[in-house]
Amino acid sequence: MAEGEQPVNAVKLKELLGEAEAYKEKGYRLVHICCTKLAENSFELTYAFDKDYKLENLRITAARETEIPSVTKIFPGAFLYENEIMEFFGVAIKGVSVDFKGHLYKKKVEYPFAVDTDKVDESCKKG
Amino acid sequence: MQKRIVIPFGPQHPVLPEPIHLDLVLEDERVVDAIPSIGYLHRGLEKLVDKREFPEYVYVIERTCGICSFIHGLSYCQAVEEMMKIEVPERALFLRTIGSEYSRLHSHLLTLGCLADGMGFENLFMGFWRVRERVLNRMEESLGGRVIQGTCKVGGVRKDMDGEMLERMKAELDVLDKEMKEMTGVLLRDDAVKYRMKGIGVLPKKDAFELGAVGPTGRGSGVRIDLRERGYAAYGKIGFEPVLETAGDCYARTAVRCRELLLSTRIIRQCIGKIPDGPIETKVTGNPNGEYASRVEQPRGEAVHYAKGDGGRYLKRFRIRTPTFANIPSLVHMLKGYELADVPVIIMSIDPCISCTER
Amino acid sequence: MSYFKKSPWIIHYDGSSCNGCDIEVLACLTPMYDVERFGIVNTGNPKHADIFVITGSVNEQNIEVVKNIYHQMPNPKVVVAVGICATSGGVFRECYNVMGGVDKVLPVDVYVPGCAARPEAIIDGIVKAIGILEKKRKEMDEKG
Repeated sequence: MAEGEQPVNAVKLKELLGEAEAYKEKGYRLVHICCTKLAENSFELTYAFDKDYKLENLRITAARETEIPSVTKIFPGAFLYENEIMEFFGVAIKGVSVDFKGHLYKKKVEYPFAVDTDKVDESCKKG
Repeated sequence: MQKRIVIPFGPQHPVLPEPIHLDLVLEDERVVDAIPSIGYLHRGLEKLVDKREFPEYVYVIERTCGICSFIHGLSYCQAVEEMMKIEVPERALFLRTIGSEYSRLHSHLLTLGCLADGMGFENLFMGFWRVRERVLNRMEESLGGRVIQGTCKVGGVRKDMDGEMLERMKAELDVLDKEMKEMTGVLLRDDAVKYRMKGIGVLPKKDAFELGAVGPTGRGSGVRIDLRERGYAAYGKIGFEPVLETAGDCYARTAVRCRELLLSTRIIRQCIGKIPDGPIETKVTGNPNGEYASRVEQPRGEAVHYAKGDGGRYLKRFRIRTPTFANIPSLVHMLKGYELADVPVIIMSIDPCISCTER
Repeated sequence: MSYFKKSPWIIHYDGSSCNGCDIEVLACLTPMYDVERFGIVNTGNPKHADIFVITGSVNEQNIEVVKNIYHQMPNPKVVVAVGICATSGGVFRECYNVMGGVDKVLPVDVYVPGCAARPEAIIDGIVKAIGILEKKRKEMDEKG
């Protein structure tokens, strides 16, 4: 089928930058950063790396208050992903090279992906 | 130090078919920095997974973008099929490959036309779009739609192509090849075009790789990223070599697209030759559980469709990382150091697809 | 439609459409459909335009842009909503950032159905819009 395994390495928050650096040195490129809401105030960030069409993931879980270090120093192209995550989920990422401060997207709902759909609908109706 | 001025570029701009906004920081005529702001087309369709069941959601996904619609649908189906361990019939995979290559043809012709228009070369724009209509007619006949097809579904495809239709397509490919060669020849050999594109918007290979450039933007700088090489759908059974250029300027990126047009017709010919008989879909039972990041090569580069399910009819999370989103950091890098008058050409050379980017 | 005094110029803005209707609007201008035979020209400048073609629905961010373009256009002017998204929001109706059809912000004169709207339908809509434009012009002349 399309692709084999996509290994996921769960890492601790403080190991993130070191691991990302290691990927960079091995010649990987950053494919994307994806955030998923697991439960109320618990988010999972997946950093996907690719080399020779093999995908590998680093994964951290964080609460909203957790300060996640930015990987833009290692992968300069990551600033858009990180800004997007901050705006969609309200997760705090520290030290992004270009910080849009919440102005990348203009939305009616603050942190749309961090709230339930029916609540989003409600706030839309009010507006 | 010279005085700096900020010039807003977009969202409504003659060269842009779609709204994107850039704040260009200039010193005299020279761009020293560019700050992109996107979001004019943001709809929030990733959130719709909460309201649409997974087989139904493919219609929403196809409408992420009207240019890459077919490949978006394919990629989504691939992600769900991988999670559910569905074995898609081989004929369906070949049909998907043919559909993908036809979308690539139509997208590349579109963007080359728009690029010519951006430079004021209007009759070349018309020429490219006339050829494109030929592709669209064939797509409408075989896939069921000009720009939005709805062909892919989880477990296979919806429409078959009979032998007669495939023969007709094959016969027309020669005409297409001839017409496309003529058009791309005009574009690539024209002195005014060369003057406006050679050495403009240079993106060295190292920077392209570090900034995560994908698709023709990366390949124009010599970065070998062509997800078709991974062999999804039927690409594994097709022999081809990705198109690479090394100069990294606007001209190289355009040349990559021009050469890829002919690569696409070669792939379609091989597909028509090798397509096996058999069913075009399998029955889908159960619900997706697990996670998968499906990656495909769109006309603009690598797209990632990440899906996560928990065994219910609705997916838990779906995310699209589109090629233009990955190319914006490269675009910002490219703009620095060139003149204001070059900005439209540089923007068009990455072939931005904004409605993909903002979803 | 038999005769009109002025070549109607259109300005096209992409609301939050998927691009499908957009490229079909552009396709109308190209040799296969060629609306230029009616004297219709696509302009980038709202001050030159008579017909405002909008594809896609209205969202938070582009309300101001859409209004701005509309107010820059000289009278008489006609608004054409192309595609189902511009009509009602279409498949994206339930998205959090989509407000709905264009008629929530501007008075729409012609609706063109379809997802994506076919070039034939778009041309039909624009030709209808020309009729309305003529009518509006007459009304303006009568008022003086």
